[in-house]
Amino acid sequence: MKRGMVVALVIVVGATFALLARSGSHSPAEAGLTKVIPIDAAGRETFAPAPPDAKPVMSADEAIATFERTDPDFILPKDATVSLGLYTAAVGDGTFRFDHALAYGLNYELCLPLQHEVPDSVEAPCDFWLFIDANTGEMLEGEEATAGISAG
Amino acid sequence: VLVVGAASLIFLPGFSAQATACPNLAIDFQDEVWAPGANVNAFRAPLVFRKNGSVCSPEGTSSIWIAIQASAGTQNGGISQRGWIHASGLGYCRFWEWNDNLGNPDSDSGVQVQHCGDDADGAVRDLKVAKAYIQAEHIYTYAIYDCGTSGWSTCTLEDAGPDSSNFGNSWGAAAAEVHYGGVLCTDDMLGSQNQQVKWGGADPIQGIKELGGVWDVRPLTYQDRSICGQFVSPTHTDSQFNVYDSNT
Repeated sequence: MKRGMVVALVIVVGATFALLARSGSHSPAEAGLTKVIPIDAAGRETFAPAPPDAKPVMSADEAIATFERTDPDFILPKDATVSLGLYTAAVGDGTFRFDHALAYGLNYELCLPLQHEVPDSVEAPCDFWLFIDANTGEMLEGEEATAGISAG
Repeated sequence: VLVVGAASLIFLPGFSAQATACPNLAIDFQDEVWAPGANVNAFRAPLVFRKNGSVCSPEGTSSIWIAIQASAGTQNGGISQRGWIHASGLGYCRFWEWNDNLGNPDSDSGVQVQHCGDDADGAVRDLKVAKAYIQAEHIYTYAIYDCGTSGWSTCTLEDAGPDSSNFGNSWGAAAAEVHYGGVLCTDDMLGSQNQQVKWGGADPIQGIKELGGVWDVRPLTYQDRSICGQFVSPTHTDSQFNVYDSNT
């Protein structure tokens, strides 16, 4: 009986450690959107303030935790900020991949290299956005902000 | 109890060993080029994805893709590409990217990642880049398509891509690319000896040369940057291209 209790205690404590560590990815600071942010240089993607009465199903922490379960390799940087907003991504032919989708936008520094050769003078953009569905926690997409970057 | 707790930490996702730092990125790649002369109208291949290896932190990447790209640019010029990427801190994702002016970031879509964590090792997707007419702007672009896992009949237009008129001459490309840290080739290319990345095969790597033409297998030109000796391509025929990292 005592042995059974010890085993149960070990399992409970181990699971607690696991849960604490799993959510050990901190809560990002809330940035709060006040204006429409153009994301890409071509003007196809934007992130706009959510309407005041927007009621996402998930909190930012819940949405991030859901995404982390799908993508265990994701590492939330300590400098990340989060904003609730409306993500729009135009395909460029008049249709949309996402049209005012209620999303949490995680913004942090990540210099993802362009996946092709570039002249030496060109540096990778370093302003990364990751958009997560605010109702389901599913990833919408992630991208470097290239709007406003000057030529190298 | 502490031992059990520590063991839990070890096996938790996201608690992998510290990745190698990559202060000065360098690029290495291998590719096969479909170059029938003048412009390429469309290019496609089924692509087998592999999840393995490590990339340096914070910005190391390893990717595999197909593309149509300018052949006359000083350093590739315009490009429209679709594939998979292993990116530090993001994991394994689908991606697309395009650029229409000699690689400057202000004319680049930036890397667009999607479905991070969704695809299994060994997944096969049919990927395509093809010229498309954009009615609203009265231009042709090199549009980026994902045709899923069941053939070429149903394709999703991911992005209209760049204006094709900026490309000049173009060719199709199937490529494996790695951005690793500095002098040492510390990043792993996707694929291992027994589980290789593969373009084509039973359904080959194909292109269309002229607008309105038919899908066609043509001679492919194999290029190996050969900076990182562990990146291997045992198969580079006209219809199939395999690569893997011999260190994994």
